[in-house]
Amino acid sequence: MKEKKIEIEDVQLRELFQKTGKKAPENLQYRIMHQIETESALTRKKASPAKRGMTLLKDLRNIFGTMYILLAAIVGGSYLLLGEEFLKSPHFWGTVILVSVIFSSLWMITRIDCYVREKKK
Amino acid sequence: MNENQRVQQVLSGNTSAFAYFVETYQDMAITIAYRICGNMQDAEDVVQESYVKAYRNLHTFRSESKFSTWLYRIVYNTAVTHSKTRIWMGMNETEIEHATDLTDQGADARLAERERREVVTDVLERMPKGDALLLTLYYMEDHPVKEIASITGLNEPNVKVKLFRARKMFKELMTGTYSMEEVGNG
Repeated sequence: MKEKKIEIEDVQLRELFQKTGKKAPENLQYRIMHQIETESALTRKKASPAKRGMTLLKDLRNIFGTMYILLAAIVGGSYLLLGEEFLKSPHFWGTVILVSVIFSSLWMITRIDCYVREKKK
Repeated sequence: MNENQRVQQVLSGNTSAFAYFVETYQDMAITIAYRICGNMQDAEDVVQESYVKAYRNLHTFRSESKFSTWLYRIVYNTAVTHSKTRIWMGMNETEIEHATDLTDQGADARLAERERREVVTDVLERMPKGDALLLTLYYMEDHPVKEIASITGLNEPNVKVKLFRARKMFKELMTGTYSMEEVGNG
């Protein structure tokens, strides 16, 4: 008897409560989805370690690739224009070292710049 | 498509698939947040924050429980942190002892639907926040005691006891309000 009364009460209370829920404002869904989409876009933009590794290799290839092409051109040009003897002279080796130092410095500056940018982010 | 498949969709990068969960559960989420925070502005902020948390931690969701239970637990915790209040407060035992029977009074039968809704909302707002929340979860969404325990972090016997007391208090306040209205109208 008591259980039945509780059951009836439960049904009545359920009916009462069904209509008292709050309604979310219309723009709430938009606000939530907008925030989630923005966050997910920002997360995608963050460079992954693998991507960072790729950038490093790309820089290496570009800078040192150019350097070796230039050195090859210097060696080829010197050999053709000034002869084999010039390739053994200190003047030639000085030029080679100077070119290497310039390109190495350029690579170092690029790496420092990347590091500072990542730090800032 | 079931909810687990939708969760997998979101995890695989389809962010817009998450809109289903927002649309389906936002009303109940805001009701829970409102019961704890006590105002709509804070409730909206809590719900927004909760959904973002849910999205960020979706990979930790285990399909053994319902998505709604998992989400409501986040909403509950966020709202409690946000409101910085104790929601489980002691109740006046004498009030409970003298609680009257709702079925005997037939109060709901005599009140117009809108009035009833207003009275219920008013009574819930006058009750301790935790009790109002328990009644809302139990009667509005038909959550079993086990799920309510998961959402609130209470154990099942505790939920049953609190629910019993909350129901009594609700009936008493409801009857009291109704009687006062009758006097006012008469």
